[in-house]
Amino acid sequence: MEYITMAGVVLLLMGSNGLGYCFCQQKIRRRRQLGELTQLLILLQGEIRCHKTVLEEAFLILQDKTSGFCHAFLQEMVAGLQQQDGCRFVEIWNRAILSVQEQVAFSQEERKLWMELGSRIGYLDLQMQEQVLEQYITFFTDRVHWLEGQEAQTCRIYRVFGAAGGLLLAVLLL
Amino acid sequence: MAKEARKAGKKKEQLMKIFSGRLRKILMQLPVDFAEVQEIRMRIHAPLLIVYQNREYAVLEQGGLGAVDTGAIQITREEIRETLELISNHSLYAYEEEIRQGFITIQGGHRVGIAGKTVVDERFMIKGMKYISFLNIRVSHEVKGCADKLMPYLWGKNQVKQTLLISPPCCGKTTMLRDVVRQLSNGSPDGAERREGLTVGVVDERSEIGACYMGEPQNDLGIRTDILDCCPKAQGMMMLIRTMSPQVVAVDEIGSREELDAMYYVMNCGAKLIATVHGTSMEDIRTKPILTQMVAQRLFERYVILDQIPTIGSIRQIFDEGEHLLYSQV
Repeated sequence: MEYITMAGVVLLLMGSNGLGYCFCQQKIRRRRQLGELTQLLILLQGEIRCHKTVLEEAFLILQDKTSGFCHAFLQEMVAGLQQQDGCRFVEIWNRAILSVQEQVAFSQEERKLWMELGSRIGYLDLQMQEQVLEQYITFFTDRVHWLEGQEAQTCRIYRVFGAAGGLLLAVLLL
Repeated sequence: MAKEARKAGKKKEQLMKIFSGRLRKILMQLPVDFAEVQEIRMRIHAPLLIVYQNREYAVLEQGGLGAVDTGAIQITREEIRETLELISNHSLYAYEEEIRQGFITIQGGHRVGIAGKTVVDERFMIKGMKYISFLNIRVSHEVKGCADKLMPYLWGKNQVKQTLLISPPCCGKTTMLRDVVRQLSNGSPDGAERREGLTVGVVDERSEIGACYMGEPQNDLGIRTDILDCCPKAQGMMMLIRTMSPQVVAVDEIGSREELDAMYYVMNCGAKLIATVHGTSMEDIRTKPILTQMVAQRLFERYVILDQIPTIGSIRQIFDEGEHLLYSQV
């Protein structure tokens, strides 16, 4: 009986530490993916500024320069635009985001901003495109830097809480 | 033949994709030969009109063509908006310059004329357009062989003649130019009149001649043709001469002083020029301030007048540099 109890405590501690580790990894993934999205917007800005590329063409070109959820997102965008089934651009954009949402670790605010971008791209002239993209690039870059600054401390907190939580549960059960 | 038919079918599908859902469905089912469709006109709160075999018809709600007052489809604001978004690939910003000039050229080389409320800057120059409510889709057709009758007149002493194609709008001068370029580029290796292919440079300012899409010409301009896409004609002609060593330079719709200077440059460099211009006759050309000097100096060796009778692209008359009639349709 004691062995079973010990095994249970060990498993509990492992589980709670694992949970703390997972939350930590989630934070790191969020920061990394925001960085990838920022990079995508920078590339898109370049394509529009230098070549006045239309959006469908830009997404097709950028597919080869991206990986992970960005690549999947661009694939969905290209497929949606090529279908030309009468959907508005923002509808195709939101559909593409929803198709990759399981893969991304963004906060609700970041997800909302990403969706809003779809209603602002393609509107008015070249200068407008550059300014809109610049605004979002600046926001996401600042967010990435903020997350980087917080990362070490946040991960430590998650790990400590994970361990402490597991210990507390173990004590209560014992 | 089957390959050409497939290509024509693909072109039709590409064109239909720019229309909103409802219009696309009805247009796809129209019992018309797409090769004979010349224009499709969309006007807000007005019937959808189509120019087919030189006649205007209204497109009916239940499908088919008919008179304007017999149940024609009425175009809504939403349909114009949706069509414009599809035409511009949701990227109107990429067509700023074209919108200033009043048109957008789409994949396939079709020219979409647009009209709405212009936005002007402090110097009253057109900056852009808003409330675009009128679209005129001029359907482009590649007609291989339409220049067959013309080609023998463009050669003399084993050299191509400096040629000016003259025609009013919608008489097929761009289609004719396209086929002339193709035949010059490919040459004619067989037959009594064996001709070597020539290196041709095309300045395709409006993307109508080659209809390049992502760098690939959608029309066949021949195996020895280089295309400067979406390039201003005057600069394009100079660039081609300096970098691509063309034996022939082809341009569409010349009309400005800068273009005239560039044409002189091309001719002085030893290349031959094939150009088109709006006009109805030699008398009309002589009154154009830009061209009157060139005509007087006999720089062009062939003048080809096109007409739409009996069909679009018919050669009405051909003159030499001394304005002597070489061919007349009548």
